Amino acid sequence: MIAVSDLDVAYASAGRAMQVVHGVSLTVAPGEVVGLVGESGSGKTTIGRAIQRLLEPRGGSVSLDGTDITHLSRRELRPLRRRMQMIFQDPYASLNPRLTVAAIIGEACAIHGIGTRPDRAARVARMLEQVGLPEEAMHRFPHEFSGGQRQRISIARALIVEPAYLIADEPVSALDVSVQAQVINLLNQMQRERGLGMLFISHDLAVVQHVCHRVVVLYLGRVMEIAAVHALYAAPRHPYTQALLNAAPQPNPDRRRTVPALRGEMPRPDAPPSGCVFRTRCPHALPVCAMMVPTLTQVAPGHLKACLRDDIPYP
Amino acid sequence: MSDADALLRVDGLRTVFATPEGDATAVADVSFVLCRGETLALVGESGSGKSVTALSVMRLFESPPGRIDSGTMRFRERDGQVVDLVQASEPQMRALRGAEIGMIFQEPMTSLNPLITVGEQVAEGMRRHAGLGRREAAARAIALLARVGIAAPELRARDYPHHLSGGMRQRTMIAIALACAPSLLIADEPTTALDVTIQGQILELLRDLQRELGMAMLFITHDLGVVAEIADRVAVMYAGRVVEMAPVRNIFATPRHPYTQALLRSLPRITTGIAGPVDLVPIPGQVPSPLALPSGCAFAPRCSHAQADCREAMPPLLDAPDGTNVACLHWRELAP
Amino acid sequence: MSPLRRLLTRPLSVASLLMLILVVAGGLCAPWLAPFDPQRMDIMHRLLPPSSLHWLGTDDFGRDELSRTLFGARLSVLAGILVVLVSTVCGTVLGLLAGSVRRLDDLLMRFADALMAFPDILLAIALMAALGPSLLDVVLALGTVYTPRVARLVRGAVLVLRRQTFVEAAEALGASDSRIVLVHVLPNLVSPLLVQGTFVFAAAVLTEAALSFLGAGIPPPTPSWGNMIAGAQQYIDRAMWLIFAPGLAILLTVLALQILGDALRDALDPRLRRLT
Repeated sequence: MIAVSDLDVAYASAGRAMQVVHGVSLTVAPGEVVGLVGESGSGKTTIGRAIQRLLEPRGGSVSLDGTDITHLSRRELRPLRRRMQMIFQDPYASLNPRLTVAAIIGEACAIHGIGTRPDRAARVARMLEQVGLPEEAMHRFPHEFSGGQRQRISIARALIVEPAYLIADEPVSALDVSVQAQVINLLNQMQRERGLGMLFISHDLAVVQHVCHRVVVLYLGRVMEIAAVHALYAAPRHPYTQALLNAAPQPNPDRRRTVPALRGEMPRPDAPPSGCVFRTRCPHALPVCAMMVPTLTQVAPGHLKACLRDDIPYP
Repeated sequence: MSDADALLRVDGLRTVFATPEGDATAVADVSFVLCRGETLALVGESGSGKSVTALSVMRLFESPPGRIDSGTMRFRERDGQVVDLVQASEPQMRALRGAEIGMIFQEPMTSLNPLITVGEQVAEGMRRHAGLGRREAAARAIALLARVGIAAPELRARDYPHHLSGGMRQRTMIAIALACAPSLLIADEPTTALDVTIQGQILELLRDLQRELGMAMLFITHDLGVVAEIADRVAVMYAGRVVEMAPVRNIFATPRHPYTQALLRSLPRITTGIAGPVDLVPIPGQVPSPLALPSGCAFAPRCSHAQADCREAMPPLLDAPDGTNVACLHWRELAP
Repeated sequence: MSPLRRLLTRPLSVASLLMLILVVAGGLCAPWLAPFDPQRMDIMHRLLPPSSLHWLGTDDFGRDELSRTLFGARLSVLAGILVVLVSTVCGTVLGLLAGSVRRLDDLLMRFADALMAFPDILLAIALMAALGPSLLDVVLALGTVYTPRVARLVRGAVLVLRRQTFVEAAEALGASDSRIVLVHVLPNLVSPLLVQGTFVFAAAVLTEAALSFLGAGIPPPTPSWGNMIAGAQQYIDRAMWLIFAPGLAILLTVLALQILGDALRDALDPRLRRLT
């Protein structure tokens, strides 16, 4: 299990530290797909990078199958990295343009001492087949492939070390719609076949619904709601989740909006509102919302929300 | 619609880019009509030619390497005169841009001049095209910023683009584009780079402004959800051609072209009743390169209904019921 | 289209490349190409204008100008190549350190700034005064002068590369720092270093000529384009071809290198590589 507890992450910006993640806790069980959803500035990408230890959190902890990895050094982390891999959003920037596909995917094996040199080529070929690419792709360079194919290469690179967990940071956001479906299906298949625990980071609620078992909703670096997929989409309890679901454009011209559109903009992370940070845009805000920071409370088993009000309906 | 209502009539537009590897056909034989007060959405994935079509209307692409090989784009000016934008001279185009045809782009950060204040950028167009004096233009700029929903416009007018959020920058771009009340607004993926909650606000703003000013809008996007919200009519583009054109309801209710059908099928939609990972229905293969378009129907290699005659010749836009046009030889056999 | 082919599509680049090949070949093959021994004096036939025997005439000691020019090319080419090697190797090492190790960055870059604050020639002269007059010393001096430029370039490139997603991906895989540098950073440095190399070559040729002209570089009688011009100064009224030969050689070589450098930069620019 990946267990994140009370995570705080801050970036140094122009001499000052700006905290972008506040007290976030979540878990990813083996074989479970957890969606991490939010708009820009929600901190979702930062959390993914913190879990992958591409940065060091300022507070809280991250543990991988019981081992606390929050402050481990690079050397100590190396053997553990085999269990947790990452795929990135930009299919063009995430592959070294000067290496062949074989070198890119094979590097993972080289780093972790998997297999011997001669049989590495065979492993790479097998992996390519599993992600739906021809074997001869091995000798070509990234720029010869389309965005969707490059994401497949990234997936191959991540999965060849046979990790137990995968952190996918917006893996399909930069792809065309028809290609998105191909890559989503591939991820679903890989996850099913290998029993991967996956953290699926995305801003696209429709995609998340087709990939995840559970969803964590973030706003301004804080958790607003956590629920199983069917509960979140059928009966969201937090006003922000309701607004997100409502705002997402749907391919249905006759659709009528059930919740008024959200006014205003996300506050700057260095000047968060007092109390509940969502209150400045919340259609149900009360004076007490400015005075108390809501904690995550349970509304049903497995369904948590960070809102002081219990009486908000979802039409 | 009658000729008097037609604001823009594009006929057989063909835009080509010269590359070291040969000519890349970005737009091949595109035709459509746009009337006053109506919104036509050009929808497609990357390589469909939708953005290049918009740039062609404004003649805003680099030439060389781009050039319009054939076609006409007849635009009705405010004074009633009709001008062919393909043949128009550069000074003529400059007179039209900003004054009668406005354009907003996807990435407001790169479309706004970082060294000039926001108010000044809005006022500039008014001074140049409407001949307003400095003070009057500045005052109108502030009013315009307020109209596009920017709070405290007098203060914001003195800000530089990097002080504003993404949503506010996009509103600024809209203000600049609409400063001279153009009759046609071209919007190239204006909400793609914005958060979903801001997206809704901007779309609502555009709808309001369009109603108020009675202008026509050519809206380019890859997002079918956005199309459902903003468009009156839709033109689906694939590999540089229009493959289906219909009123918005028809496109979603009864799509007739295999590509449109496949596209709609592959979309993940928010529904109730899903309790875990569910596979989608992808379109196999990928978009052909503009350097190597297949002979015959460009979609045939990926089409599950393709037949021998599909690969021989490019199907023209045929008439179908309910004001739909389909570029498919076998549309009748395909149940939408 | 491969970068080399792109380079060859422009006539100016092709011309520069040919010019360079000519100079390098001429210089390296000077011992076999030169019709006369460059040091062979013939006072009876001094200051002769170009003729069928002496294609570029003779200098004030009767030495064949063509042979001297060829050997001068040999010197300039050798010096240029060695300076590029020294400055590239040292500059890359220092740039890598500065880009990778935060604490060293400030120290190294301030040092580089200090060196770059001196005009190239002055710094070179000062170093030559401390070192002594020989080709090796010239290479050391000029190598020192141009290392900071390369170091800056590499440092900048390393800082940019380290933020690239594919480097992050390598980190996420568990790659060690040395692997990241060797496999991911260095190969992506080749292009900018190649371009910078041509400019350093050009600068080295020019500065060596200047040093030799001023008497602080290669001393006569060994022919260097610079000291040939120095010697020819006083005969400008009687035998101006003596200045033309080495002068034109410097001009054409440096020009060719500059044009080639620009063309290389364009040809290697990944953004210009594809349209789609």
